[in-house]
Amino acid sequence: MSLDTQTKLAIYRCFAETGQRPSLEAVAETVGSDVSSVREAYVSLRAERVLVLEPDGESIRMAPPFSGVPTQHVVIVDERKYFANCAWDSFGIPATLHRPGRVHSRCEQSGEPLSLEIGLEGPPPCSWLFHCLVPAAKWWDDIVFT
Amino acid sequence: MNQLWTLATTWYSTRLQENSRRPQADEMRSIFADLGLEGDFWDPQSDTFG
Repeated sequence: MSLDTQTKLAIYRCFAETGQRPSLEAVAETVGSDVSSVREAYVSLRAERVLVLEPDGESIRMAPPFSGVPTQHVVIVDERKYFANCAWDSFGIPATLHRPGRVHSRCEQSGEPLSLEIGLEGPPPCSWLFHCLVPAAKWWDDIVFT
Repeated sequence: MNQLWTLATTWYSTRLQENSRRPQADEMRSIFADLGLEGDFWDPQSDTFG
């Protein structure tokens, strides 16, 4: 398995198991490599659009659907708390974990709190709408804004 | 919400597996079209928006 793949799995498994982003040093230790090599793997994973870094080049902002920083989209799975990057990713966390969960967020129009149970087959029927503001071709121009 | 669940599972259900990868542009276009999401807004390679 390539170092890029090992690094990706180490990051995603850390998020899945803890709800938290791993440090660069922790990832390097997990994959049995040096920090410099793992930093290079980060660059490759960013190019594949499976990792978003903070400006320091090593702190993980996003490993979609997981957020490395607190957001308004909180997902509870098996009593563990996760932060998602957006509404789409809030559904993505139960999908990634293959576990039911509960999404807590808010309506961007009214500010009203939202809470939605997600089963293994998805959410129950409801009248809520997902509004995608940015065209698909522009998502990664500024993925944090998107 | 069902559309969103389909997008979430399509994007992420294999994310913890070794061979997972993000859908490529042509795959994204097909996934969106299957959900009725068509036009320039949902085209990942559209140049309509500058």
